[in-house]
Amino acid sequence: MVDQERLPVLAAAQSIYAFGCQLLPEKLSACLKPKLLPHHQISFGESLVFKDGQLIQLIEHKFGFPKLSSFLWKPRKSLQALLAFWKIGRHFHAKASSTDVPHLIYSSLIAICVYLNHHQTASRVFVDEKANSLLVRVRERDEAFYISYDPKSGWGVSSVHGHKLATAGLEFKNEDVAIQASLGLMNSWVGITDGSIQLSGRIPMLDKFGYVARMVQRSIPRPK
Amino acid sequence: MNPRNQSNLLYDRACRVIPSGIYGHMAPGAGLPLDFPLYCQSAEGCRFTDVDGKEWYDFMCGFGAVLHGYKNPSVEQAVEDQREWGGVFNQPSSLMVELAEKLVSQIDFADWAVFAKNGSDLTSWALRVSREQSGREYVVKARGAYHGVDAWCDPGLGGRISSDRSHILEFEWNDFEELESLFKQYSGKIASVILTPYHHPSFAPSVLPDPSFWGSVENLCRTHETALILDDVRCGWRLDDSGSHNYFGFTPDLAVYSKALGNGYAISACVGTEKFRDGASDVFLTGSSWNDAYAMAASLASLKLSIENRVASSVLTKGKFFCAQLEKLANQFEIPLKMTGVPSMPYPWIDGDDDLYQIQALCKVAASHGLYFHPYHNWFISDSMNDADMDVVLGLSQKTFEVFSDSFSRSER
Repeated sequence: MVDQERLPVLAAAQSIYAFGCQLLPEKLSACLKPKLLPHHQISFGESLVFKDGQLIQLIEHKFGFPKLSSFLWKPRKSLQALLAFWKIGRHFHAKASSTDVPHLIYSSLIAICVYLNHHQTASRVFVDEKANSLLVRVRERDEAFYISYDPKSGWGVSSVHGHKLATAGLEFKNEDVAIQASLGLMNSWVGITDGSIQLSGRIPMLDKFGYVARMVQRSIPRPK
Repeated sequence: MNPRNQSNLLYDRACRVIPSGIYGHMAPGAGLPLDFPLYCQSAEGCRFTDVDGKEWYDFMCGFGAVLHGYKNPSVEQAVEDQREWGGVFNQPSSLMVELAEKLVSQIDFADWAVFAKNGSDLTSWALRVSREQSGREYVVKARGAYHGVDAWCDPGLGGRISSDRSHILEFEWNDFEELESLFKQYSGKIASVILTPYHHPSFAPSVLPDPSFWGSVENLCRTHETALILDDVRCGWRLDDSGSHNYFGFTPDLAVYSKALGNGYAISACVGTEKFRDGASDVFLTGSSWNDAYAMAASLASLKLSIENRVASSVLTKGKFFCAQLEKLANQFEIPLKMTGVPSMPYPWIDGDDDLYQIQALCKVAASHGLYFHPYHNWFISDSMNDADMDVVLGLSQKTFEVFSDSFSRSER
C-alpha cells in the first residue's frame, strides 16, 4: 500500500506523466515517469529527483527546486525532464487550447485512478458496485476515455474512438466545460444540474466516481 | 427540454448559500436534472406545479410523505383547528397522548409509542433501544436497504469512519441461510434485526419476501431473543391500515413509521411491545420541535382517513390497475417493462436494462408529457388519484411509449 500521505504527490506526478505521454515525443515523456522514493522524495525518469514539498511548490507556484544531486548524476536527463515539465506547465490552465482538451481529461482521469487503486477509502468505494466501466467524452468529439477495472491491474484509462458500451457515461457539454472540470475549477453538482455535465447509465457508479474525483480535486496540488 | 427559468434562477441563488444547491434524494443528479423541475410551487391532490408554472401528474407524493393527496382538506382542517391553540410548547400537548393511544389501539402488537420528526430519528433510536434491552452490540440489516441518513446506514460516502459500521452486519434479502449463519457466527451478540416489509432499494427492482421468509426471520429472532425491528417508514399505511406486518403476516417487536403518517407534516413514530418499554425509557430521545402539535393533529386526521376510507386497500387497488395498464401499454410497443414490488408503491424495471439507460430515456420522455415518473426510486400512488386522473395519466403514458419505443427499438438493434 502506498503511503497515504504521499498519494497527492503520486497522483499529481502520474497525471503530469500522463499528460506528457499525450503531448511529447516518447523519448521526452519517458523522462517524466514517476517513482516514489524513500524519505519523501520522488523521481522522474529515474533522474530528476524532488522532495515532495518542492514538487508541490513547482506545480502550485511554478517555482520549486529539484535536488541538486539529480544534475550531478544525470545532468542531461535531468535537464530534459525539466524541459518537459516546463512544456507541460504551459498547457495546464483554464484557457487551454482545443488540442489540449483530451490531454487534460486523460491526465485528470489518471489522477483519479491513482486514488481508486491506492487510497484506503477510495479503493473501497466500489466494493459493492457491480458496474466497472465509464465512458467520458466531450459532446460532438469522437475521442473518448474509457475507465475500467481489471482485477489484475486495477483501474485504468484508455483512449477510444466512436461508440463503446460502458456501464455509465459522462459527457461534457463543450470543451470549455471539460477544461474547467479537468482542472478542478468546476463545481460538479452545479455542472450536473445546469447540463454542463450530463450523466447517463448506472448512476450509483457515477456517484462513487464523482465522490473520488472530488476527493482528488481537494487533495492534489494544482497550479494556483 | 422544459423551459425553467425560475427553477434555474432559484438554483443559482441556492448554490451561493446551500452546499450543492439541493441535497440528498432531491439533489438534481439523483433524478433527471434537465427534465425534472428543481423547485415546486404548489400541489393539490395528485398534481403539483413547478415554479415555472408547469403542471405535473405526480407519482412520488413528496417521496412518500403524502398518502391522501396534497392539501387533503381533512388533514389541513385538523391543522388549521390546532393553530388556534398553538404548535410547540414547553411541554407536549394532549394530542401526543391521543396519538399514542390511537397507534397503540390500531397496531396490534404495540403497547407504547414515541414520536420524532423523521424516519432516521427513530430507526437509529430503535437500534439503541434493542441494544439497551439486550446488552448486545450487533445489528443485522439487509444489504442495500435504506434505513435513513445516520452513519450506520446512509447510502452516501462522505464523512464516515471505519467504526461507524463496525457493529452492523448484512445479509442478502430473502437469503435466510445467510442470516442464520450470521446468528451462528455472532451467537449471543445480535441485539436486533432491522428490515423493511419488503426490499425496496433504489436503482434496482423491488423484491417481495419469499413465502417463508418473514416466519423464519421471526422464529430466528424469537429463538435468539433478538429484537425484530420493522422499518415501516416508507410502506406504512400503504400496504395495510394498521401496519405493513399485517400484509405479510408477522409480528415485529418494534416498528418505525413516518412519511404517510403525517400526510406531509413532519412526524415519525416508533411503537413497541411491553418487553421494550424499559429500554425505551432509558434511551434518551428528544428534539427541538418533536412535540409539534400541528403534525400530531395532521397524523390523527390522516390515521382517521386511512381507517374510514380503507386507504391502504384503495391505493393497492389503484396501483394494481395502473401497473397492469402501464405494463400492457409497454407490451404493445414490445418494451419489457415490469412494475415490481407492491402496486401501491411500484418500482419500474425494464428487463435487460441493468445499467439504467432505458429507464432514464423512458422517464425523460414521460417528463416531457408532464408525468413525474422517477427512474431510480419506487413510485407512490396517491389516494387522491381518481378515475379521471388515471385516464389522463394512461393517455399520456401511451404517448410516452409511442415516442420512447422508437429509440428503444433502435437501441435494441
